[in-house]
Amino acid sequence: MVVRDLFVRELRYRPGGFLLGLVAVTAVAASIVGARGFLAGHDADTVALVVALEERAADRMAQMRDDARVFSKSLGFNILLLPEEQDSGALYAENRSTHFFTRAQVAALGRAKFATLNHLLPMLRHRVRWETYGGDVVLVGVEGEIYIKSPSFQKPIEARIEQGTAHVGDALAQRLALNPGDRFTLLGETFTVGRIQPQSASVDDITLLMNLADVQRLSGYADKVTGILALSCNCAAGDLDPIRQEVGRVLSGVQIVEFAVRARARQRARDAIAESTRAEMEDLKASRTALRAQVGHFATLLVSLVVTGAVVFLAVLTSLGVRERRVEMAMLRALGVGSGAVVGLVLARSALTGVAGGVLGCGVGWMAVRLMAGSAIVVTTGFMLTVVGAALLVALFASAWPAWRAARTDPALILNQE
Amino acid sequence: MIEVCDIAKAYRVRGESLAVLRGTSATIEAGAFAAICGASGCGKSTLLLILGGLLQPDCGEVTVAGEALYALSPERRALTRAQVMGYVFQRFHLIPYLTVEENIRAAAIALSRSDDPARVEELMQHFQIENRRHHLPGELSVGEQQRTALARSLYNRPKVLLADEPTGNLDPENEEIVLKAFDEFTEAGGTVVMVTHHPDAAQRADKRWWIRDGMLVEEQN
Ligand SMILES: Nc1ncnc2c1ncn2[C@@H]1O[C@H](COP(=O)(O)OP(=O)(O)OP(=O)(O)O)[C@@H](O)[C@H]1O
Ligand SMILES: [Mg+2]
Repeated sequence: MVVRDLFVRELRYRPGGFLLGLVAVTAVAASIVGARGFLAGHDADTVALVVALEERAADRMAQMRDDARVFSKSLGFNILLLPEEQDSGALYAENRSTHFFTRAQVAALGRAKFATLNHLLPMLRHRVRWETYGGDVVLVGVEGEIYIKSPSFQKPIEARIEQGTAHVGDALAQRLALNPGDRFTLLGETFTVGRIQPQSASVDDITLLMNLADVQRLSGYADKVTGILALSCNCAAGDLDPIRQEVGRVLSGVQIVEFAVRARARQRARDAIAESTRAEMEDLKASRTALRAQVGHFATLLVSLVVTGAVVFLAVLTSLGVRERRVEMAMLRALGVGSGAVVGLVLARSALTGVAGGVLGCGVGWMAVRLMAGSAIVVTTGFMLTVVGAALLVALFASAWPAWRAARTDPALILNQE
Repeated sequence: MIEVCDIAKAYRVRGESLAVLRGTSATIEAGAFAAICGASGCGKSTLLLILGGLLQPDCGEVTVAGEALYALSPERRALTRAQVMGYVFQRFHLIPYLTVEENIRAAAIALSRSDDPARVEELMQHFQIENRRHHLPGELSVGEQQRTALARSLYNRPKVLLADEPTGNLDPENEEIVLKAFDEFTEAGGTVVMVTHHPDAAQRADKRWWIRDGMLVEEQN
């Protein structure tokens, strides 16, 4: 017979106190793991909400992009830089360019870092006769990408148009029965249909949007552009003076034209969406952060209360247990079992309560989190091991005093009196 | 075998000192069967605890089998007790979660020594509790509990047996079993110190000591 046998026999003989302690520790550990899982779930929800909001904003932006595909003369831009001598009548009524920027001028403008302008896009606009169509069509050539301009979204709305590709106006496509991918001949060259532009009841319906180099070649204006499209930043509508001043410092003889409301409105709408999305996001984040803090505080409070309660409960339970067993413990000591071993018996019981309760509680808490929050929420093994370790320490802490008292009482007095 | 030298013991009760033993001495030879008698509360159990090395006297010394008990460290004293003495308590104090058999074996728990099944068997048969071997103390009659406690005290083949009212709660038949065991024990060379206030039981001893006013007085026949 060794002291370990006593431990096992005793546990089997009086499982009640042990089970009560086990239930208490299990409940505490489960509530801690549960709280942790719940908070993790809250964080995950926050991320999901933010992502959803971002996606919704992106969707709205995408709709705006489709809008922007209705390329008017402005291609979604609101400012056009033209050579001063350009004949407005010829350009607007006949789609005929009378004067051009040279390559050097374009390069000079492109290099300049304008504070008032964004996304400078060289454009050549020229009317030609297309025999296959049986009438005049407008060629618009651009190079590079076309951007949506907004504080937070800098996505290209229009990829670079490759050479040999043309986006075809609706009226042309109707008449010639063109579909994306079809090939057609224009002024002796073969092109592929990139996209059919939506109907716009404007000159766009008989426009071919192409790569700048193609239009320069077809129109015979090598290295020339009609003008440069740009987006103005933060300018009050109608007030073009700041732009004029800035551009004037780089290049003289430039007239600056503002497209009417449509482009501007579109830009405003984009900015508004971006702005409202950002505001909404900030609101969401702020409220979620506040809620998280609240829930976190509540969880901390709850867990502290539960842990304190458990410590008291375990201490009382162990005290009662020691009291109930004082005679037999005195007898064991009379039989020569050292007081260290007697303390060991008390502490071993508590340690088992702590570890078993911790493990059980982690299991229960984990299951609860899974059932309520789904499998996405994980409470890490590391955290659960910490909980088990803490449960062990708490259980030992709670029984330290009763165990110490058990070791101190004089067995002789108990054995003579009880 | 047992030498009691100038033992005094007082209990402190709420600040007041209650002198139970007042500097008394006695010698009990090896092989003797001694009875300690006296009125209830005179200090019989107190004396026995001191003899058993369980209760430190205020002064004086007890020598058992050549060992001055209170000169030893508590650990050594506990070990000496387990090796040399058997102790039967007034209220048995069996371990409630151990069976009869295990309670007997528990006597050797402090001696790192393997179990002696033959010895357990012999004792259970001798005290007629072998058919109760798997019972817990709570499932035994008082007599059976007493006999189990007696078997436990004899398990380590002690030289000295200290028994506090071993016949107090027993019917004549059980009383006889116990007293016979003491006779056999002394015949085999052991020393028995039995506390009792049963005149019949006291008569079976070959020496009687009375405690009067905290002093041990040997009865002269
Ligand atoms: N732990 C204690 N604290 C205070 N007083 C005690 C203590 N133990 C015993 N006493 C007192 O010491 C006296 C002797 O007690 P003890 O138990 O030795 O008597 P006893 O002779 O064995 O009596 P009984 O025959 O009734 O068992 C009693 O008056 C008792 O009240
Ligand atoms: Mg007594």
